[in-house]
Amino acid sequence: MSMCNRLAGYASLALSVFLVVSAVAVAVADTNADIDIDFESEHRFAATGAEAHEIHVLSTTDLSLFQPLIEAWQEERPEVSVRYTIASSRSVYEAVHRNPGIADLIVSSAMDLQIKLVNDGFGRRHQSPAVALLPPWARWRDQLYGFTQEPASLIVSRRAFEGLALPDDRADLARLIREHPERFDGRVGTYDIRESGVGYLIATQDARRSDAFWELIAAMGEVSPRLYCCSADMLADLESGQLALAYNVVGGYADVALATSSDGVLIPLSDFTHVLQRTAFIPTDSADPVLAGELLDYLVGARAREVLSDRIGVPPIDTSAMAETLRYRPIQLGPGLLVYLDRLKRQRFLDSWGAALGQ
Amino acid sequence: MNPRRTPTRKPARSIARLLLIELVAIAALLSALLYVAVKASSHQAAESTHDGLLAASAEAIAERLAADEGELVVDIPYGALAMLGAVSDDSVFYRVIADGETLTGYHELLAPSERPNPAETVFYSAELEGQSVRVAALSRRVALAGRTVPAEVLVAQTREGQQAIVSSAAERAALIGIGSFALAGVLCAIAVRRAIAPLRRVAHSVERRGPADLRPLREPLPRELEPLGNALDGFMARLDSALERTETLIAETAHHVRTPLAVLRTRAETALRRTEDVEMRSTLRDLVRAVDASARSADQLLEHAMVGHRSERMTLELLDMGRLTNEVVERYRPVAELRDVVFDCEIEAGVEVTGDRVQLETALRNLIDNAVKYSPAETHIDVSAARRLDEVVVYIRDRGRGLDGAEQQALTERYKRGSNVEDVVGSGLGLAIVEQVATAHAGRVSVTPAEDSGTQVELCLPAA
Repeated sequence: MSMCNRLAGYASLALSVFLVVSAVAVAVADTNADIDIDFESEHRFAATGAEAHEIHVLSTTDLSLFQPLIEAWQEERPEVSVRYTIASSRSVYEAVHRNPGIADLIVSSAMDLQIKLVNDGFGRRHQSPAVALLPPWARWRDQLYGFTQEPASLIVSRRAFEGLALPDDRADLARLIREHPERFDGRVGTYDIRESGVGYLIATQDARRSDAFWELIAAMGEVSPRLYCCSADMLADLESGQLALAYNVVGGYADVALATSSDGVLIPLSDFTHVLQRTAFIPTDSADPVLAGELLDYLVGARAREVLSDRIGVPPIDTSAMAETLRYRPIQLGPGLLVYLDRLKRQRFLDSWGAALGQ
Repeated sequence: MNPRRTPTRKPARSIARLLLIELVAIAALLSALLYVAVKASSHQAAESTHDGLLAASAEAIAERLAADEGELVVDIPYGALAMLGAVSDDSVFYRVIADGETLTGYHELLAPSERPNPAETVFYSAELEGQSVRVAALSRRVALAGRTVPAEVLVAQTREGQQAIVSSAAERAALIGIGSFALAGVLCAIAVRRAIAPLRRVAHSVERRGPADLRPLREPLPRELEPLGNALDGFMARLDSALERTETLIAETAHHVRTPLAVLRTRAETALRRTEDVEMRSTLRDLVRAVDASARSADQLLEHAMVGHRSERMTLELLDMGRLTNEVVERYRPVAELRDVVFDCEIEAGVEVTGDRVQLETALRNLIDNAVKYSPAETHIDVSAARRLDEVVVYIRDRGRGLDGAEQQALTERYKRGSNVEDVVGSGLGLAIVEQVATAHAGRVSVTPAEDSGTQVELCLPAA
């Protein structure tokens, strides 16, 4: 695909991505059950020069976000072709767990699952001057490195909120929903955390941070919320007017979608807004760990930061941006993220969530 | 005379170096011990800190064990695992066992061989997925449906962070070890230098002595050197008395020789006056001359003995060499005038030395006497006394027959005379005496042929 008029093509690109994702969405009915590993799609970026190497990336990130990154890398490394496989975060986790040689680089926004893979010894050590520049909260065990920081935000439709003040924090939003049930009935969307790894991560972090989360979930439970597996679907329904608000949409997708929307408003809630990282690591049995290390260095390096912020609209890791406002709370990479993956803990949380949501 | 003896013995190993090597070896040993001790204690400290953290985490999990609808459940608190991430990036593993069955967590994590006592936490090392981990395990009994169920909580973490702490502590310990070794080395060198300073001082003061200085050591000696000092003093006292005995012997011998010689001379002169026989008179004159020579030899032997004797007990005073030279010249002027020998004096005033008056006077007398004796009639003798740099130089030059190639060293030996002096009365002791006096005053004497004819003598003494 020609990248010459990339900016102009964003709208159609986003739309096509939504369609692809919707078409091949994975149903992960029960995480405790033995799930089949189901890859959503696979793409090949042929080497622009004479091909000498191939690298395989297994990722949760949609093509629309990752394609510019890969193409910019290929400008530096024209002899490399990239195989890019997209799967849900759970599938990525299961695939690596079964076969640590399945790919050369594992990219996922489900930080907790990535931490668990690295904790359990599926990661490979990678040290370089590029990754050494990352802040401590964006790296773990010299294996797992973050390269984007994306706030999990509330997105509201201006039309749906006509005549109402836009909410500022969770308590505010819960009050609005309770006071105007007729306006929000069936029009509130959030992740189905039983299916979405990222949704589960954000929900558990929210719950850990404040009881206002449970208050909000209970309020949502009263207006028949719609649950989604993926950000893209949620954004599509918001755009079409079926949803009045979408809670906890991951920034990367929201930013891209809002760039083409006149109706959607992104609201970083003032009580706290969690910031997720897209993280990458090299699995133990990578076929070409040296090349994977180069791609990893590129992802956290200056060139990729430029591509992320200028071409894609996703913020790269930047401590100063995080410090600008108190509402942003980065989810730190560390063993704490293992806690909500505990079998009993997870069951307990899903039970509470289901009960509060009236599912 | 050569007062310095070339040492022929092989020097033993230096005390200072021996001491320094041993002290530095001790410092190195202590530094190594310090390193080992610091490393061991930091290892222990790091491990006990790590154990404490693991125990706190296990405790936090154990507190959330509860019975829920007839089942044992555990709600792991977020902080229990998050706290383990605060110190290092180590991998974390946990396992909760209820009634022997894994309730949750990593079932591969090795349980302790014996169920720990409820009051205590046990720590042990284990292997998990190829990684070495440190495990903290504790047990609780939970009431469940009318019975108590034993439960164990295991929390484990890899040790990379701990090892990093230990190796950075070891690095510091190594630096401390090297630093203290370097410091100890410098201090040892200073200490050794100070310790052997008295030894150096004594050695130096013995070395600095004049060859005839046989007084006891005056320096205060450290206790360890006292035996050496005493031995040295005793040795010098014996040497002193031996020298004195020898000199007394010479003096007495000379004295005993001189008296009969005087009698012999008187008799020979009386006989000379009485006889008219030409041959007899010539024989008697030879006899008188021989007796004179013998008497003079005896005199000089006395002087020599006296000078040697005084060398060890010199009475030092400030002396004007110019004035002293003048006095001696004045004394010899009448004798010289008998043979029309004239003194040309060029004597500076106030050229002072510190020395023994009797000795210096004797030396000057011998030099002037020599000059007068060897000067042909109607000639000049140049005498000067002057300061040259830090020396006082007395210069005497005659126009006699010169040295005829004789070496100065040979001339200054006792009883040695030049090869061309048969007709002049002399003992051969004169220059030996001068040399002895010069040496005793840390000076020197040089005898060289003058430019056209005659001999020039320079007596150089350190100026006061």
